[in-house]
Amino acid sequence: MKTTMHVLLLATMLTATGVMAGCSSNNNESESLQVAGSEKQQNADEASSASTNDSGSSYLASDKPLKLTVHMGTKDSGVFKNDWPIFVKAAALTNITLEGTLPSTVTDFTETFNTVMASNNLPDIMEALDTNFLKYGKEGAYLKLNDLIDQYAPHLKKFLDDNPDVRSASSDKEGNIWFIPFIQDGLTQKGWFIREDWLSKLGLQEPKTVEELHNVLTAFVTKDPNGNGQKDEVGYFSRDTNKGLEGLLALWNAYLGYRVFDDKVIYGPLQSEFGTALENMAKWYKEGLIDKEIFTRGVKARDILLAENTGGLTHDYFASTGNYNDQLASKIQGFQFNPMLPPADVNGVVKEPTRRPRATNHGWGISYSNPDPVATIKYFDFWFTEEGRRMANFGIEGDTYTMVDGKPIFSDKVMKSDMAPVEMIRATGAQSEFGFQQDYSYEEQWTTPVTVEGIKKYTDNNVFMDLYPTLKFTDEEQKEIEKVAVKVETYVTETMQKWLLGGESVNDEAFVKELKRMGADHLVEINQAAYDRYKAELK
Amino acid sequence: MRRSYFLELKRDIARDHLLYCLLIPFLLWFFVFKYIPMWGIQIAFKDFSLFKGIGASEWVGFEYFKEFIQSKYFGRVFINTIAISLYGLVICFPAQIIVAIMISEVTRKAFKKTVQTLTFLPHFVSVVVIAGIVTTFLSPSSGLINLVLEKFGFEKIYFLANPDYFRGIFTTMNLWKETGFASIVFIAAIAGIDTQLYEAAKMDGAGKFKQIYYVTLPGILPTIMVMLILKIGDLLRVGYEAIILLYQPATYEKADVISTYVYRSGLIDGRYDFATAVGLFNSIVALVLVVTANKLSKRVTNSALW
Repeated sequence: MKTTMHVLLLATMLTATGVMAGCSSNNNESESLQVAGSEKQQNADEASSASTNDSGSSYLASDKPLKLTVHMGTKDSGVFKNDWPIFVKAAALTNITLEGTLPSTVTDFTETFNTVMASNNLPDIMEALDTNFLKYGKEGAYLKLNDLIDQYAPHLKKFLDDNPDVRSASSDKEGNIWFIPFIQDGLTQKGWFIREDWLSKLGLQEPKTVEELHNVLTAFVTKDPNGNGQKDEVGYFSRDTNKGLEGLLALWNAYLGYRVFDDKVIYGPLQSEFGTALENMAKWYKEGLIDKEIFTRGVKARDILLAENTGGLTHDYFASTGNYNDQLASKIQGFQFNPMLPPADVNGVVKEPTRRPRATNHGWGISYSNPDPVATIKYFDFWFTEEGRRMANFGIEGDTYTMVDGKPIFSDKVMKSDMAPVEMIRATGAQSEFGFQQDYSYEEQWTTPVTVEGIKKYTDNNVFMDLYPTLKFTDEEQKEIEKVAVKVETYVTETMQKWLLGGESVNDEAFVKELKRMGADHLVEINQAAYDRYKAELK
Repeated sequence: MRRSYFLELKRDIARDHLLYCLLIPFLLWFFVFKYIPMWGIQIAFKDFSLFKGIGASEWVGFEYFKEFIQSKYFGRVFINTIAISLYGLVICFPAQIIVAIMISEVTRKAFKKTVQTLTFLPHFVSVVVIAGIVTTFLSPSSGLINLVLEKFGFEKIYFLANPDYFRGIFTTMNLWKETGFASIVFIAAIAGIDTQLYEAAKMDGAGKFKQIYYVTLPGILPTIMVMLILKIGDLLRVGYEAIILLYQPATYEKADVISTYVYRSGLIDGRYDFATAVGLFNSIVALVLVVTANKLSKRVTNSALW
């Protein structure tokens, strides 16, 4: 009985898919017949003038309609959808249709990636992290893109030639390019936000030095700026339980990770400044200037503390933090949570430790089993043409944006929607973090004026510290790092938390000694060597 | 002896083949979920690559075991695991027996059922929710316990950031969540005791406590021993979900156990081979513990698992 059921089910399924496949291939054929005539001509054109093919349907990546499966999705932009308008339009232009392989319910992308890798049955195009591409590329899971790019992807080639930092980030030590990263635009990542209305209520100025910051925070938690008669104000808070303190640490020139100063690599926790910073911060914590629950509140900290009218100061992403003024204006009278420049550090230098990296650590690459790598790289190249880049950034012309004076401007559909503008943009598939070059003006158009002004302050004063570059390690170095780094990092966070919460008094000497015993200074050596290679590569 | 065992088995199967059919699903379950995965244990000795697969990855011998045992955290996670388990064994296990006896002694039916249901309930609530409740109760700014402390003039305590409180919090949480449900076994065992024994004890002038001591406890001793051996086998297997939900780097010192360490290094850092090695180590120690406990029990109380 049961077996017959199964056979029946299977048979129905097979016929159903057969019919479906038949339909779609028929459709595609008729479509391809229509374009076939003009196509030949264009192929000839294309060969002669690769740089001038920015018009019409010369974006064709494949002669015949081609369907490629794609493993794609990120936490921010969600799982790839087959009907995302920009990919549908791209299919019409390039003849390549993408078909997502991830179920739309996925939220843990590391896990799904690992499962797919272990199944050995790879989708044709895969989105993954740089470390994965470098590791599995060498094992044969992905194709080397160098030759493909040189021969078939003129726009991509030009972009990589012009941007050696991106090329470096997408290739291994030997210069093999394994993936096309998502390339961000804009300088700012995080900045300081303070309750401006509390400041004016208490007759204070924006803090410009560490000492002033101390005074402001003390006033915040002792003088009841929210006026409810209770001392429930929280001074500095953060929703990031890992890196939430990096802004404060930088005020004492201490850093959580690696940094480069004058071509010399340092590891923050090994420096004596780290101990000094935590000694001071532990004092602040004891005085109640830092959120008592800074390590346990988690991602909702910002929402909760701002809505409860108790949070005073944070160091967080510009765009999202800037939106609270609109959200809370009606609930809290005079609510002004505005960006300010970082207070000068103990040496009097104004600096911001975070900055938006250009090449991100993820992008897309071509699997070894891809049926048509040449068409695929041409398709990748499409997203680096002017038209492709505009679509990837702004969506569909006439729908989400219109061209005004040669610039894409978002339509009312995006700007006046009930949803956040970025969600409207993402609904078209734009900004979905695959291999394309972001254009900051997409973000600027819907960032609140106060935030734009704050960002301008940061960029005009050029407060950004250099980012630590993406380095490439040899296999042996990588193994060593895997073995040591996790333990070192665990020890650092653990000790840092204990020191800050007052569970243990700061003993920097013993801490550094233990770190060295665990091999942290060896990690610095490895990083220095990799950094020297990186410098040589960029020259 | 051995031959006759198999002969007997054959005869039994021939006679009660339908009864033995009932075993098949369980054997299948064991085979699919316990024996087939054992094939994967070999990655503990390999430099495992997801893409190459288990077969093609290279052998590295005992490297990961060496790394784990020599690592700075080995002593700590080992001691924490044993300590947290012992807390559970010393506090939670007797509590289950006491609750079972108390429930059995209740004579009014409605009351008995209510108590039983109420003590069972927390078992069915997801551990994520329970951990959320615990975190909220203990929050230093808005937690009930700290508000009470404050009203009585004490200073607020950040319980979850202080390693010294961790084991207590974890054990109390488990005590509340699992005691009722785990007592079912003992309630059933008590129900199986012959009521004539109690009558005889009453005739001899034994009060309630004497009855419990001389009739109930000896009656359920075999059950207690079996449960205890099973518990000892699980000594190294602490419920890591709850720990992950409650701990944080500041409390790793007392809270980080083998399974959470495996979780962090295996799933978060993607070192499946290393994590498997640690897990295998864990299982071997557990096996040794069970065998020893069983031997001891056989010698001391004459009741054993096998």
